[in-house]
Amino acid sequence: MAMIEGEEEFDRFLARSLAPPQRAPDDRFADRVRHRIMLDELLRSRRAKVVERLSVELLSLVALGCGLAAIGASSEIADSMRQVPHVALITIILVFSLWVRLVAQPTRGGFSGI
Amino acid sequence: MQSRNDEDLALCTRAAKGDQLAFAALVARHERPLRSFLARMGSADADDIAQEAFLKAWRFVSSYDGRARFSTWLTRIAWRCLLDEARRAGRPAEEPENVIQSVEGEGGAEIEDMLARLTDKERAALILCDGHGWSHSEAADMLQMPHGTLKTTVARAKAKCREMWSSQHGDD
Repeated sequence: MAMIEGEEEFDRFLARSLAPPQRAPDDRFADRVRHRIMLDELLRSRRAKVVERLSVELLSLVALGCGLAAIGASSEIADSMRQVPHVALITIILVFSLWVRLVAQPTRGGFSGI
Repeated sequence: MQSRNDEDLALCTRAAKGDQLAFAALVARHERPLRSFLARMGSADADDIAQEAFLKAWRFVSSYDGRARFSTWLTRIAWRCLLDEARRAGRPAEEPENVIQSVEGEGGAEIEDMLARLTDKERAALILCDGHGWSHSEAADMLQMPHGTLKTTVARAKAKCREMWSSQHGDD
């Protein structure tokens, strides 16, 4: 009988000790979780914007390269470039500068937006 | 009347649509048992792990389908975070950590001593089944062990604690 009582007392002790505490929700903890979620959401949206931006820039760079290659494939243009190579170089630099200016505008959230 | 889990499911559906207030309500409902479980498990960073678990729950809340209780689903996420933490710290998950944080509630040092002598899985099984009212199936599912093994684990953990209890309280 005493053994059963001891067993029951032990079971009660265990259930009581291992049960979650009875208290009001911890607002400070909830606030910390909320802040982490907000920060996570912010980082996620920025990451998505950066990936989108990089994709656009990569695509435009490929398009620019293809365009230049197509122009270079023309025998007349190739001949004139061979005769005045510095003009060809200046043209390429100008086109590239224009591309950088168009793509990396800070107002459009270029790399400065990272 | 809506059951507690139906309410959780409704909050999850709202949270999956980006409603942070609904998720805050879930945090308020479940932080107590989750943090208590993690602290009892002896994690030095119980609150950090709980935050990590809630953050992961937020990210994947749309995948919660209501088949299991939300608390079970959440604790499973926290358990994985706990295992990752143990792995990062280079501690095998089966080894008792022997440092149980003081947890608010009854039992105090006595229960802490008892839990410190159990392995992680014994401790988790005992806390969830005897303290948090989980079914053996729910605990077996979370701890990824067969139902029978879980029952044996709980019984073994209880026997170890009983032995310590007897030596301190003088009954046999």
